[in-house]
Amino acid sequence: MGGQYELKDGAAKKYYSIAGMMVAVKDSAGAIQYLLTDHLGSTVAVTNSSGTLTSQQRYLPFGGARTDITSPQLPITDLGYTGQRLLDAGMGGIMDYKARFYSPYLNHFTQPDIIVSNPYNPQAWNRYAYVLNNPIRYNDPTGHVCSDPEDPTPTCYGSAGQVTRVGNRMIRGNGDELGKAKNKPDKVEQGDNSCGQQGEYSSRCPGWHFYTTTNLVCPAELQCTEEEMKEYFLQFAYPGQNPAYPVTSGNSYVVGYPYTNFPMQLGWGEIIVYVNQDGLTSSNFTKPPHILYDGKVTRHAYQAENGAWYVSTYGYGNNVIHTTPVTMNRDIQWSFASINESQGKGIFNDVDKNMLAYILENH
Amino acid sequence: MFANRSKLVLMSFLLLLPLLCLAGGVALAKRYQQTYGCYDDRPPLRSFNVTIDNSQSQMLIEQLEKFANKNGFSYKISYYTPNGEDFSVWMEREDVEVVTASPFTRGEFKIGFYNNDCVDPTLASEISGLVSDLESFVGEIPSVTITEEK
Repeated sequence: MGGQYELKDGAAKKYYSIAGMMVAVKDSAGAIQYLLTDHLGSTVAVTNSSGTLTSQQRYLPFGGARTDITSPQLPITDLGYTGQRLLDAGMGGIMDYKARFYSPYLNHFTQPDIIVSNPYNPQAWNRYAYVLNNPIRYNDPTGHVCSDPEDPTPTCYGSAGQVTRVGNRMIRGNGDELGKAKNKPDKVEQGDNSCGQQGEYSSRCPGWHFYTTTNLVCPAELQCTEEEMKEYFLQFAYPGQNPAYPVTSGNSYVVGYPYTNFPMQLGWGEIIVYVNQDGLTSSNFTKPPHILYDGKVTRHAYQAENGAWYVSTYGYGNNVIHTTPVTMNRDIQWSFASINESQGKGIFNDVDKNMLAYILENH
Repeated sequence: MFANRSKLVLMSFLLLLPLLCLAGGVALAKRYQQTYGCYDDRPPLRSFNVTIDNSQSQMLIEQLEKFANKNGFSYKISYYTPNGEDFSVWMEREDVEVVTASPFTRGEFKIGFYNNDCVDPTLASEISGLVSDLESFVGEIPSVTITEEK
């Protein structure tokens, strides 16, 4: 059992907590009141020492205060939604989630997460998103990673696929370090293309890479419709694409130099682009002539609650160079992965930047 | 006399140099066009949707490899997840390229046959034998479904 003191406007309060959850508060007059919570840890009611309800509050899914509760709202504590502290009104209604601030008005954190906690879950790609956009089930006690209060595993992803930050490294649940080989061998024998084969995954292969990025492509004030976004999405599916030629699902394309609007300046290789039936998700696969083979890039366009459109890009792969007869040194393969990991995000940031510029000009 | 002749040769060379460069550039561009010109925005000659159970991934890989070996394709596989369920297979020979990938849903694959010869393009009608062969290899996987995209 623990607790903390709070001094506000000259009045002291003492909080009492059990197992990390605030359960009672003693005000400056010495009266103890008990905090009752829901399944997420949100303070929903306060009773006095005789059990009489003295105040209550209910919340909208993302933490906004419901106004249909007519009885006195919570005056005794500012620990409200999911047990986190609501800052003063002058702070715009944001909440202190310890590592980050959260806005129940925006339904997003106001700072991005330091990593994508689980790259296998597209909901985690948006680093501003709150608890995988599933606030009925999950909460985020630390501001670092969402958690399921009903599940004993430490995060809402379970232990598999979870990525944690250790110092400046990112470690998967299976112990692999993202972007690095665990044991980097010296050389690949002539003609050895086993790297990338099943069972010879990232622990042996030096080329594993991943990156993710999310960018605004249509500001809310432009009021882009879903149908319009589907058209734009096909015009900016891969680096160097000429927007005059939208992609067709299943076709093979030569990727151009990504940092300008002028396509085909420098052939980086070929990709195949597939577009999902929803028209807002695509997957690009590099083919062996591509300098960054092998890699898969998935892009997804989505609309935020304020009407703005964003595109999230997630790239990953093993960067295995199978080219023979040239003997590829593992250091070279590894450096390709590093290039991919360090440049991939920037390349697609530029694609999105071009998309935004195009929409601003043509919408 | 000798100096004049040298001057003449030099002048002629300087006059012809831009023309030679132009001719060389045109030849290179033509060669590039012949070699790579057909590669951009290349639709599949024929394409198929293949659905298997996730547990049958390895079987699909084996069947594709058998197809590649029988028909003289080079064969490369890329894995995108540690469990090997998400992968793509690239098979190539001089006239045709075959790509198998699972872009969105595990167990759902797209197999596309692409022309791989810019000089003498392969036609869809010329790959019926290859297509039937692939269908019969992949068709050996229990409960697989194969549908052609039109």
